[in-house]
Amino acid sequence: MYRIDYTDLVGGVLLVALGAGVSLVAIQSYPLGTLQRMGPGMFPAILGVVLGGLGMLLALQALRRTGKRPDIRVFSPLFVLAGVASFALLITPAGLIPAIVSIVVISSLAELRIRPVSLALLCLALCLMAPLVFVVGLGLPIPLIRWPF
Amino acid sequence: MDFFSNIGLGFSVALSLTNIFYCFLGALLGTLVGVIPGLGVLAAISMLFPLTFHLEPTTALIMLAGIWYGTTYGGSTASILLNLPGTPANAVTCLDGYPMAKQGRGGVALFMTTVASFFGASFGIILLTLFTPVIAEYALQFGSAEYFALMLMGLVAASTISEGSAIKGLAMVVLGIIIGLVGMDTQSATIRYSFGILGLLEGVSLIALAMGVFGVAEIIMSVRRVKTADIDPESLKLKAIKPSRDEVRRSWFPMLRGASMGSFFGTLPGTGPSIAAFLSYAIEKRISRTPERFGKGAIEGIMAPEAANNAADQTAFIPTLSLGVPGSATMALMLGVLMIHGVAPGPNLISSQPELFWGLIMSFWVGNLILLLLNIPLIGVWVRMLTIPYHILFPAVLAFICIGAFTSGFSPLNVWMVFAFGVLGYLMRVFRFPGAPLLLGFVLGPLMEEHFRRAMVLSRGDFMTFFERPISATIMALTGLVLIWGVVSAERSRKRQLLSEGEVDHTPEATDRPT
Amino acid sequence: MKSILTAAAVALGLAQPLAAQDFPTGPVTIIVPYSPSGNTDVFTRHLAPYLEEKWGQPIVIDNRPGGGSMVGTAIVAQAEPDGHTLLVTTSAFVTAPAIQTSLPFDSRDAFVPVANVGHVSYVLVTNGDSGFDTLEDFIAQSKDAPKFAATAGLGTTTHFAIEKFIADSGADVDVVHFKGGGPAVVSILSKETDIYGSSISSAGENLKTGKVKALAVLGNERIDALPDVPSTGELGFPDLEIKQWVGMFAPAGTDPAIVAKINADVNEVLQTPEFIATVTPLDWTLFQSTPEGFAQQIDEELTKWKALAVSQGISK
Repeated sequence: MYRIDYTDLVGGVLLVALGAGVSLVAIQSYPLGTLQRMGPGMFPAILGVVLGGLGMLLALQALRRTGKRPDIRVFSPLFVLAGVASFALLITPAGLIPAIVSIVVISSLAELRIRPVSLALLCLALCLMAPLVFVVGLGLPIPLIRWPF
Repeated sequence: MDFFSNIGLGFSVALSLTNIFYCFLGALLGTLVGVIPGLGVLAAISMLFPLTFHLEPTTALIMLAGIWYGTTYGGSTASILLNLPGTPANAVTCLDGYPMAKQGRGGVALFMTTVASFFGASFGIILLTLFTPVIAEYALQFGSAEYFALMLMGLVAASTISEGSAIKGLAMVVLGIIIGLVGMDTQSATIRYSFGILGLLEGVSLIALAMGVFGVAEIIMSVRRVKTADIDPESLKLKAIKPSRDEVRRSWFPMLRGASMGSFFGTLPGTGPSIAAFLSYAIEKRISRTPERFGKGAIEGIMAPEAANNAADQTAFIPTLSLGVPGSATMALMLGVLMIHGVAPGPNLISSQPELFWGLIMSFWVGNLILLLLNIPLIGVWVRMLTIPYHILFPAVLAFICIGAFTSGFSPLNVWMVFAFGVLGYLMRVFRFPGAPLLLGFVLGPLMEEHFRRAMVLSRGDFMTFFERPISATIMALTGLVLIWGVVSAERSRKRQLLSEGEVDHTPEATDRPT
Repeated sequence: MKSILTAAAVALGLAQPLAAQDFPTGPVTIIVPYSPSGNTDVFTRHLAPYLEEKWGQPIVIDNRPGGGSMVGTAIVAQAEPDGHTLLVTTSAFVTAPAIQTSLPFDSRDAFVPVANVGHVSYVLVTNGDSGFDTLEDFIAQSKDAPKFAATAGLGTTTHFAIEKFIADSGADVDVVHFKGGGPAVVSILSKETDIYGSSISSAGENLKTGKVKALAVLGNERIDALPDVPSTGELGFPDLEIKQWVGMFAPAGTDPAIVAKINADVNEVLQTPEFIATVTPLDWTLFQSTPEGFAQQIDEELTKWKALAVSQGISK
């Protein structure tokens, strides 16, 4: 428990920054037009201001009340997201099977313990199932494995 | 009138062998997806979306719709047995369903929620059949000002009625609209916010956004926390699922009230099944003579929300099919199926594609009947699904999310978008921002901008157009009421929460359904 | 070792043979940069089954409306140039670049024109209950109370046509852009706008049922599909000979042999009596074209519309 609601305070400040960024880009880069003939910049410029305003309200409210500890986790976002990134990196140069193996192995580290047998079985099952469903069943043109040389 | 011939036409389409098969497939997959917590309906529909290229549009829609309402049937299973909502629409069912299971009445709860689901769905289908054509007639009086007002009302309702802070809900709606701006402006063809990435020209992928903000973020928060089910098999034998006469008697009115609430909230763009279930639970508790029984296994507490969420599942098709306005991301995907097959969504749909419209609606009867039959004898099978350990489940789900994102454009860029939105989704969990309004803003944002700009041209730059045209003015007034009510009730519930701090807060995020 | 791997790769279906006689090796996506049920969409959907039969591969028609057709066009500009992603679009391909100056591609360099399939005429239509029955009525009334004209998008040919009509007739009309002919016709039905230069197929059934009525055909001749409707030439506007052609394009870099094969297959379909019978009631005049001839036409038209946009002062 905190004396003021730091979670909402930081969240609100982030929204203000984001809103300001959106409006600035809109005003600098896209034509605003007139109210009758709105250009591509008008709507985002308005939205950025609205987002910033809401963020400010949120931050001000947060100053007036107590708050709970935020639920911050370190290892599970790290490994889960690293798994997704490895899939994105491998799918084009290496193909489907290496991408599946890497996402399964890396993301399962988020459990913070390694179960070699069940992990190997899971990889095997997915590497059999995914090609069957997507490549054979749906006929999608994804290479299963590709040699980068 | 030719009302009955339309129904006959619908049944002749819905009862073809192919359509019954795909309806069954959809309902089965939906139940499966619903039973497993953390695997959402949107992810399931997104993954199967490519399959629908090769089906007739009616068949494709019948299958996707089956998944959509099937998940809500299946979702109550995990709520009751694990105290974990299978889908956010079933979140309130945990409150009384789980205590029932602990008292050894899990079988009764599963049986009765299936009945309530069927009742609610039937109620919704009847309204859908009666009202969609009527609304479509009126829809031709809708101009850009009306469409804008309607979508604004949906967004405001979605962000304020739901649980939590109205400000956060509105902020997420606005952020969603901003994400929807990325790519080429549909009016002037100017490219906005693409930061030089050519793949972002066509905008952010809805599938990647939903899978990142809901799928990946949900996994991040659940790893090492979800435990495998420990279920007493005795309470689930067929003998044990028979409700007592008293339980049946007490179920009728909650079911009826739930179905009415659900039908109403289903039609508003933006609200949908989660909010319907949540509000109908609140009403049951308020009007009950014995509110202290709620939270301790009161049968009313599962019947009303389960009737409500299923009714809302059905009536959500009303704005989608009559106006072409998708009330949720799932409905936007359904409209996508129509577009791919060259069917223009909008007020002309019912008159130009009667087989599709009536066939789809009548297939809902088939699907719900299948679900009724599927759920009662197979309760044991669905329960076994829950015994798959999470450490096996989550890497598999993650792999399927990435494959699904990749195949939706055959580009690693979509997987990177899943990554980016996974980060965003995680941050949103940390700062306690709700996800559903974000997704809805994203879906409706581009349409809103288009209609807003066009309304301004047509009014020659006068903002008052939204308040001078009668239909638009009415909707705007309703929007104002919703906003005031939302802010007031959020304030009141926060005060109440402060008073009763220390009481275990059981209500899971009712706003998190990726609909 | 490497040859074994290559053989294995081929067995797994990884190597992609690109020879023209094998084309297509997988499903073909045709991007239509307009909403479903508009003129271009309807035509492409009539065409696709014939090509599917010739190619033995499914064809997916993907509607990517917006930006006066430029959103879908830009998507094809960056697609893999293997013939499996094609664009079917209208003369907006040459008109839009004349006023949309920030496009992310160069219309001349980013595409290979494949075939020009034919053209349709524009019919100026209005709501069946509107207060005017002739074009003269419309022009006169617009001077008392300004009217709205719908277009299928900024820089589309309907936009140019209506701007030219406004300039020549002196009518007091503001243009409102929609995402294709389908939504534009709906706006006529809902009386949100007053006039639209529609093709016969966009207006569809609504013309027969009287929900929409035709005021005039743009051009100097009447058309067979609407023999009773006067041409703008008859009504005293001789310079409105604007037709909408529809053509097929592939991304630049596509093997010329594949382009030639697609061109030949499309030309063959356009000569099928069955196909002709389906599209003629929709006012289509079909062409036989070569990729080279079409490319030259595109080049000339890009220059011509740019000049027209400048001389007419058409802008955003």
